[in-house]
Amino acid sequence: MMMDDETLQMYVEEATEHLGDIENDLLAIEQSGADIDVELVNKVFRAAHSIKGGAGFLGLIKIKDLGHKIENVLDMVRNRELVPDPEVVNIVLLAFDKLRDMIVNVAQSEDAYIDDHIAALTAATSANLKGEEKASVDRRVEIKDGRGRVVFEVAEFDLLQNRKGGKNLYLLEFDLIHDVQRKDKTIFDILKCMDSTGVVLDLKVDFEAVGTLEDDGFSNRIPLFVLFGSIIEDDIMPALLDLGSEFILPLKFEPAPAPEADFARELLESTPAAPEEDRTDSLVSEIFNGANLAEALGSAGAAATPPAPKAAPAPQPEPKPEPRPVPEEDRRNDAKAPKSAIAQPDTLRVHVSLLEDLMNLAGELVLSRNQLMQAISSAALHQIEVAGQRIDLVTSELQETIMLTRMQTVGNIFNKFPRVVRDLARNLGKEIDLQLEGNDVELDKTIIEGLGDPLTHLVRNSADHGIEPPDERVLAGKPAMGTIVLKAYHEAGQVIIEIVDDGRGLNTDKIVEKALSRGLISPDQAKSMSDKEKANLIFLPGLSTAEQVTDVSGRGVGMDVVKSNLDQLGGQVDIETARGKGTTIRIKLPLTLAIIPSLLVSVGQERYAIPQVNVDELLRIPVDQITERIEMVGDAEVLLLRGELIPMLYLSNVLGLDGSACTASSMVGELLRGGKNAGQLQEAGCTMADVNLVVVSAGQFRYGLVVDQLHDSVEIVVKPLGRHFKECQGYAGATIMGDGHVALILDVAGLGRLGDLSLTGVRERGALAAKEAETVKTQDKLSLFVFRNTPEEYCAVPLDLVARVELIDAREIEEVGGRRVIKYRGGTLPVFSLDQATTVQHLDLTGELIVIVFLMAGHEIGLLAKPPVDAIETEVIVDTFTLKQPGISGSAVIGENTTLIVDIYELIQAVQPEWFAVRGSIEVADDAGEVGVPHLLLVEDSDFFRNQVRKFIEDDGYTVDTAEDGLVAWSMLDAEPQKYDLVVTDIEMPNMDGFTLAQTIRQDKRFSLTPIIALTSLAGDEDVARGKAVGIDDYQVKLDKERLLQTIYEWLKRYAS
Amino acid sequence: MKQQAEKTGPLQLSCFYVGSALCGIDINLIQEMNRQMEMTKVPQAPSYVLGIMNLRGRIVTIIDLGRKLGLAPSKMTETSRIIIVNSRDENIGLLVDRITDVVTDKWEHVEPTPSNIKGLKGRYFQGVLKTARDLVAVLDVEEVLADDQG
Repeated sequence: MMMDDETLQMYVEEATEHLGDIENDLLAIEQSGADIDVELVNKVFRAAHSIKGGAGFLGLIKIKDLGHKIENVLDMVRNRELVPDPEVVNIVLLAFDKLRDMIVNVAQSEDAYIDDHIAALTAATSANLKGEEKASVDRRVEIKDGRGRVVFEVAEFDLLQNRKGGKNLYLLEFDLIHDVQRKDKTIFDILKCMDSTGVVLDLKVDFEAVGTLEDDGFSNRIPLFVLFGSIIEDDIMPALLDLGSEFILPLKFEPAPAPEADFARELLESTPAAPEEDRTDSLVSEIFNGANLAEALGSAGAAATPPAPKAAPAPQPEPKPEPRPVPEEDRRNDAKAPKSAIAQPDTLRVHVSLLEDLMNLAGELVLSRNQLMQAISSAALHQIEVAGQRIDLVTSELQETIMLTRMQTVGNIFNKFPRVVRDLARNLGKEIDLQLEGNDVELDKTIIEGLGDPLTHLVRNSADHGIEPPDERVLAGKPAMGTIVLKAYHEAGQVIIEIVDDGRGLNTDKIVEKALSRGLISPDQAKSMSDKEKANLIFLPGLSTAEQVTDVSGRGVGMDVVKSNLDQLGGQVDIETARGKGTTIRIKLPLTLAIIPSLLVSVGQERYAIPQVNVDELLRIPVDQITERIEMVGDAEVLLLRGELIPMLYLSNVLGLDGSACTASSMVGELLRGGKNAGQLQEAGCTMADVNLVVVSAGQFRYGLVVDQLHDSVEIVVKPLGRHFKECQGYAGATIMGDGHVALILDVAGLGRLGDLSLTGVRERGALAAKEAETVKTQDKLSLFVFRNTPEEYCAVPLDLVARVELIDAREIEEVGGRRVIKYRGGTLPVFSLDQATTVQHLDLTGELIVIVFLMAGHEIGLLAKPPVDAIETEVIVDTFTLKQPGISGSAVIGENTTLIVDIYELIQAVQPEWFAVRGSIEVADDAGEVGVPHLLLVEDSDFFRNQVRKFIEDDGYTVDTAEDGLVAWSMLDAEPQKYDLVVTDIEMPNMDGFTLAQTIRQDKRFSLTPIIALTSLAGDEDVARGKAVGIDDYQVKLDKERLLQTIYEWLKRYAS
Repeated sequence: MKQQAEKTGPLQLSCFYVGSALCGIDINLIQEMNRQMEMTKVPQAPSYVLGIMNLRGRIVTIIDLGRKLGLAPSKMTETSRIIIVNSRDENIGLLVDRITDVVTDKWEHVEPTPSNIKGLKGRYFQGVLKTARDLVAVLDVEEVLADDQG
C-alpha cells in the first residue's frame, strides 16, 4: 500500500529532519551514561516515535516495526530501566542508521532486512528485564475492534509498560475521510495531539474495512486504527480527540487479558523448560554465526500463534551480549550503497530571507518586462534603454542570488564525523577526540556534496591508521586519547580543509617500498624524493597501503580514489607527515561556481579580474615619482612601499602580451636602467603615463602587479575554464562581464610562479634588497645557498661564490673523456658531483638536477645537486670539527637540518687539479724570492669567512694574523708597524669599516706602501671607485681564492721590489 | 578509435571546409553552429586555442580546427563559422572556414583513414566517406579535443 507521492515525500522529509540530529544526541546520551538527560532522551524518543507513527499511517510496516523497537529501548532509558551504555547506544545508533537508509529508499523499505536489528533491540530491552517481563517482550497480544476483528498484534510487554505508567489503553478508530480530511487536519496533527496526552503504541490504516463497491457494508470510511495509551479517562477522550465516542474503545488488558494472549501464554507454559534453554543457545549461536539468521529470527518473531515449540521464545537466563555484534556486520556490508543515497539529497534548504529576495527580484523582473513591452510597442527608444538597463540589473542580481542559494556550510558534512569517529574508535579500541573547527565556512553545494566521501575516507584513515591504540600512545609519551582536528577556513581565495591527527604518522619507507615493488616509481626516483613527496605517493593509483589496512577498515579503497574525487572538484590535496608525531592532510578547494568580489583591471583592450581576497592595495605612481618609488635590485624592479620592498611584475610581460614599445614596463625600464629621463622618453614619442599597481598577495607570494588601468570592484561568477587551459597557470577561471564579454580571472599565486617569482627568488631579492637598503654594517650573518646532494643530505655553499644556478635535465649530462660536461651557453661546462671528491652519498643522476656554477681560477665549473634550493641569510655557528672532511669545511644546523658546508676550493682542486698547477709554482717562486715568510693581516668580521680565507692564505705559505674589525686591525698595525707586509680587509664591518681602515692606514706614513686588498661580496663600480680614492690597491670578490692569492702574490712582489 | 570506425547504422555528416580539406562531423555531436566571432584571447594558451567566448552564459573554448589538424591557421572571414560540440560535459567551439551541407549515408560506408589525407593528421579521423562529388574526412571529435598538445 502506498499513499500518494506528496504525502510520502512529506513524510520522508519530516522523518529525515527528525533523524538529522539524532546521532549527536545519542552520542551525548552515551556520554552522560547513567546520569541521563531526560530532555535529550525525550527528544530522541519523540523522533523515533514520530517516524513510527507516520510509517504506520503510510503502511510502511518495516519502518514502523523498527521505529517501535527503538522507541521501546528509549522508553526504558527514559524510565531509568536501562542504562544507555555504549553497547545499548550502539544498537540504537545502528538501528537509526538502518531506519535512515530505509527512509531514504522508502520505496524499497519493505524489502529491507531488519530482523537482526530487531533482535538486537529486543535483546537490549529484554536483557534488562526481570523474568516475567522478559518473557512478555516476545509474547504477542491481539487487539480486536468492536466487531471482533483483529486489528493489532502487539507485544505484551508494550502493554505492560503502558499499564505500569498508569495509563488506560484505547483502541481509536479515526476515519481518514471524515475525521481527518473533512476537518482539514493532517494525520500528523492528530498524532501530535495524541503524543501530548499519551503514547501511540501502534497504528494502521485498515483498507480492508473500506470494502468494495459490491459490498453491502461499504462504509465510505477509511479507518485508521490507533492503539493509544493515555492517562486520560474515557469520558474526556472524545472531546480531546474530536472523535465520536463510538470510535473509542477502551481496552481492559491486564485484569482480563485477551484470550489470544492467554492462549499464547498457555502454550508457553506448556513448553518444557529444558529444551527452551537449548533452543535459546542454539538460536544465539545461529545468530552469531549469521547462518539462517533470517529464518531463525523470523520464526522467533512470529511467536503470536506459535505452531511449534521450536518458535517459542524463551526467557534468556542472563543478558547475552553475543547477538549484538551482528548488526554491525550487517551495517558494514550494506553501508556503501545507501550512503551515496544520503549524500545527495534532492532537496535543498534555503534561508527564507534569501527566498524572499528571489521573490522580490522576480517581481521586479516582471515589472521591468512590462515596461519593456510597453516601450517597444510605443517605440519609445529612451524608455527601451531604461527598461533594458533595469532588466540587465535585475537579472544579474537574480543570478547572484540564485547562486547564493547554492552555498552551504561545511558543517553539513563535518557533523557526521563525530559518529564516524566514535564508531571507529569503539571498534578499534582507541580513544579519539574529534575537534571540529570552521563549521560555518560556506562552499558551493556541488563541492559540499562531492566532499563527503573523500573526507570520510580521510577521517577514517586518520582514526584507523593514524591514531595509535591507547597503550602504544602512552608508551610513546603521548596522552592516551588521540586527537583528530577537522577544520575548514578561508585562505587566499580558497577554502582549506585540514585533517590533522597526532598519531603515528605515515611510514614513508613502507610507502616507497610498496611503490617500488609495484613499479610505480623507479629506485632512482625514490632516492631523490623528499619526505613530503614520499608521503604524497600514497595518492598514486594502485598503491594500496594494504599492509597498513587493519581488518576493521578493510575497505579496499585507495587514496587515489580520494584524490581523483577531489580532482573532480578542482581541489588539491597535500599530505604532511612526521613519524610519531602525526599527519596533516590539507585539501585546497577552489571557489569554482562561487561568486567572488573581484577587482577589474585591464591591459591593452582586455579586462582581467583579480579576486578581491588577493588584493592588498592599489597604487598609482605618478610619472615624476617613478625613479623615487621604484628601485632596481639586481635586474629586478622593486617597489618601495612604506619601507618595504615589493617585487614588481608586469601583467603584460607575464602573460606574454605583445604590447607597444611604450608599455609601462619599458617606460620604467628606460627610466631606471637606460638612464633616460622622462623628457627624453616623451621626445621619443612615448606617452608618459602613471604606473598603476595592484599589490597582491597569495600564500607566500606578495608582489606588485603592474597593469594599464584599474577599474571597479565587482562581484563575478567564477566559471571554470575548459580542459585545454589546464596548462595555463595564470588563471583561476573566467567570468562573463555585464556587456557579455568574457574576462579571465587571474590566479595571483600562479602568476607569481609564471613571473618567476619563485619563493626563493622573492626571499633572495628581499634579502639582497634589505642588505642594500641597510646602511648598518652588521655582516655577521652568512648568506648561504642551500641545496641537496640527496634528499636527506643538506648542503650549502656561501652564496657569494655562486655565479649562477641552472636547472637541467639529467639527460643533458654527457660523459666525454672521462669527464662529465653539459652544453652550456654555447660552450662546454664541466660538471661534477659532491660524491666525486668527498664521502657523501651517491648523487642520483636522473630527473631534474641543479647545476650550481662557480667561477674558479678563471674557469667555470658546475656542481650537480638536487632541488629544492634556497638562499638564506642566517646567523649560523659552523662546526668545523664533527663533520670535517676533505671538501667539507664543516657543518651547521640550518632550519632543522644539519647542513654540510661545502669547501668549494678543496673540491674543485680535487676534481680539476690541473687548474691549480700553475699557482703551485708561483708559491715556490714566492718562497724563494722572499727572505722571510710574508706576514699578512686579515681583517674580517665574519668568523666563517675569516677562517676560510685565513686557511687558504696560510695554505699558500703565508703567515696570517686576523682581526675582527677595522679598529682591532688598526691597533695591531699601530703596535707592530713593521710586522705586516700586506693587509686584506673586508669592507663591511662593525666599529670601523674597510674604507675607514684603508684611509687610516694610508694617512700614516709608516704604511704608505703596504698593499691593501679589499674583499667584498659587492664589488660595485661605485665601491671600487671609493676604495681607490681611499687607497685600496685592489678589489677581490670574497672567496674567489685563486684570484685573491694571485693578487696577493703580485702585490707582495711589487711591495718587495 | 577502432571500435568507433566499426560503427554501423545511418550516418548524417555535417560537412565543412577547413582550408581546402572537406571534413565532416557526425551531426549528433553538434549542438549548434553560430557566427559569433567575438572572443577573448587567453594568453599562454596552446596555440590552437583561439580564445574563449560567452555562449549564453557558458564559457566556450574556441579551437582553431585548421591549426589543430596541422594546417595553416584559419582566418576569420565572412563564411567562417563556429561549430559548438559538447564533449565531456564541456562546450567547445570549432572554428571552420565554410559550412557546406549535410550528407546522409551509412557508417558502413566509412572507409579507414588513409595514412595521410591532404596533410592532415590521420589520428584525428574516424575514416573517410566517399560521396557523389567528394571525399569527406570524418572527424573524430573526441580525439581532436583531447587536451594533449597537437
